[in-house]
Amino acid sequence: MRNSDSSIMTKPAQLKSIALVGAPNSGKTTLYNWLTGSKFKTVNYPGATVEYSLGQLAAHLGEGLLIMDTPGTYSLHPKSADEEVTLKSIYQNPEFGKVDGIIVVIDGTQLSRHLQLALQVKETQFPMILVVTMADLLQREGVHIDMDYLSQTLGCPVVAFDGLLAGGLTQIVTEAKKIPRGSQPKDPVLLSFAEQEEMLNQCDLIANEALSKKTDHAEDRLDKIVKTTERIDRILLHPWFGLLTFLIIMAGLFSSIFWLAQPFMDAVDAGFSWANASVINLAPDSLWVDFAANGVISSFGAAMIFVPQIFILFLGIGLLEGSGYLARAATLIDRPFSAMGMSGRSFVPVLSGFACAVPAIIATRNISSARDRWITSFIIPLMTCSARLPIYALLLAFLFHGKPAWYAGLSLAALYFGSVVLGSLAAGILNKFLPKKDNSFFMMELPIYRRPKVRVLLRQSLNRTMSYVKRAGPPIFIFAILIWAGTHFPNTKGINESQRLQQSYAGQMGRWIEPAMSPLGVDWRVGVGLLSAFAAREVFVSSMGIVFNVTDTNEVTQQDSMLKSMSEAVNSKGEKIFTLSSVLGLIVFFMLALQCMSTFAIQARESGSLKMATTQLVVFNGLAYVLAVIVVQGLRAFGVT
Amino acid sequence: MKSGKPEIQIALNNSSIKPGQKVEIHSLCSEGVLGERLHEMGLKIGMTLMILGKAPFAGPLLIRFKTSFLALRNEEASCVTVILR
Repeated sequence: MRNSDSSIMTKPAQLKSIALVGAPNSGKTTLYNWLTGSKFKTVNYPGATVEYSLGQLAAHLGEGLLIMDTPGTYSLHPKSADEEVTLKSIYQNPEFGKVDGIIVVIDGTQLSRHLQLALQVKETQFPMILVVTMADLLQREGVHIDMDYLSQTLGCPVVAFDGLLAGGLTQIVTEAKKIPRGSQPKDPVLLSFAEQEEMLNQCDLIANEALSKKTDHAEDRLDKIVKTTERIDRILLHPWFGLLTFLIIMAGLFSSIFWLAQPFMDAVDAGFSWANASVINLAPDSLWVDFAANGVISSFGAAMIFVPQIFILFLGIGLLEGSGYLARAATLIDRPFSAMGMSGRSFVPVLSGFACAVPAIIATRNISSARDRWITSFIIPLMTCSARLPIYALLLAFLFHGKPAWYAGLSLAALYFGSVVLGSLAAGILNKFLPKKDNSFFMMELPIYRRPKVRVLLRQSLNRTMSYVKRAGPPIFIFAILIWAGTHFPNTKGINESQRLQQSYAGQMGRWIEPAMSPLGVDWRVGVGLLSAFAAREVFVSSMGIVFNVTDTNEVTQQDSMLKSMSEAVNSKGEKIFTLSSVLGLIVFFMLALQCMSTFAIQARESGSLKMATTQLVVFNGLAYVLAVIVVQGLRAFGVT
Repeated sequence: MKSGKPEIQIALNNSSIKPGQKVEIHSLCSEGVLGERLHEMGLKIGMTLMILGKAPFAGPLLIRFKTSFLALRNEEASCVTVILR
């Protein structure tokens, strides 16, 4: 079982802690996946944006070691939130303080460059093991690195590791087990310009020596390894072909998020509906059963339905990351993004925002500039996340009822595009008004293209998805329960669902905010729907079903009955509620509004204060309301009902 | 002076540098985190860079040195001066 529960893990204090430290794309995570078994968890550093993975040794490798995977870093002098995590997790780890030892993972094809980090770690006097990855790639070209020489020079064990077949794994474990408990490291020392130059020259010397001792023409052989990458990049980074392939790849990823996920989402939906129905059948009149079925199960279902999409998104991103394309995508898009105050590194987070803002906001960590990161996570909630989809589907179905399907399809595409425009606009505005403090840098290493390893890919995506579930689950759950209670109390007996809702706290609140709803052209019932959508946007659809008393439970005809009650619904003055203008107003509202408590919670945590999250909540919802009113009243002024 | 011609030092983002050209790093900006990061990425004085091209929309400059590929923004490239080879 993959579990976040620390109780399944032996107490960290009894284990030796070993951190994997290495540059991005050094093969660190692949090694981590080979080393650790099924017992691992993702750890959040309290009060800050620290997240890293902790796992016990895989069963066949023995026990006694706690392995930590840290975000990729080029040095021990952090320049991004991600790199900060690495430093903090080895020096001030909340679980065990300082790590007992460090495995520095370096890419064998990038020897001299990556040796810098190894020398830095050596300086700190942490017990250290050097692992040289890409052994398979090097071997194929006949490059042999002199490990004994490296070991002598660095004064630590050096092991070659092959990520495909895990060659060298047991040797790494054997060496790690020799590391004593209780390290006494020094803090990393910041080098001057000249010292850095000297260190680089030293790395060069060591690398050359290690390469030339056992390999003739090492340079030519290494050149051969990178030649393919250079050739592929001639197309993939070409000003025109590059953009074209970028668009095709992204369109592919995007459509798979929706089409590939659909059957799984349907299955999740069906599973929860079945569970809901079975529980209700136990005792249809009991309030507790209703709570269990409609409060607990349905709210879990509402959160879980997006899991397939999120998994596929992570899988897709993992695939692009593992193959080396993601860095290219960020490079291709850097210029347009930087014009809006972001960077190419904002690309993945923004893209993820189309599935769910929660993992997207977490993904902003690898943006080195605090300002770029702030702008990126600010606009992410504007992206059309999948929770908006059921709402748009309902509203568009209402607008284009009886018309060919492509009407709604095209409008949906327009809404997606609209969210990109809105996001760019918002980013542009923020960019203009935010003071330019730090100099943001981009500087992207473009790794050698590689075939990603399926095992690592699947495990990583599963890990990230579980991390999402654990994070987003509780707030969605809590709010769903609040809303359930709000819509069920104080009166519970002897009345039908619709009456009960009218008299409930939520109904009372709906009436209380009705003056605010009428400029939108709708009445208190839609108000209740909008309020309930704060639990999770898609709850809007089911609340509308309840407030407009749709009793049809047949899945096939349910939407038709819903559309029928919507088209018949009138307010207290007898005017139709759902008209072209009011539905357009609602669409505008949902495009902008930040109706997602999980997003709010994650934003508050990631930014380290409530300030940004609250600003976002107020600004987006205020703007959503004002613009929706303008749309409704504007259209009505021009005679559009 | 390898070929007897005078060496001209220009910024790496100079538009006269064309894809396919090889240049030698003459200096790196020595102040701030930018210079520090350039070092961390493996750039150092005297190193030969191969210019591969530019990303679309006049985006980052694409370079290769040894076995590494790097994309540098204009501002980042501007703090590296090079000698044409």
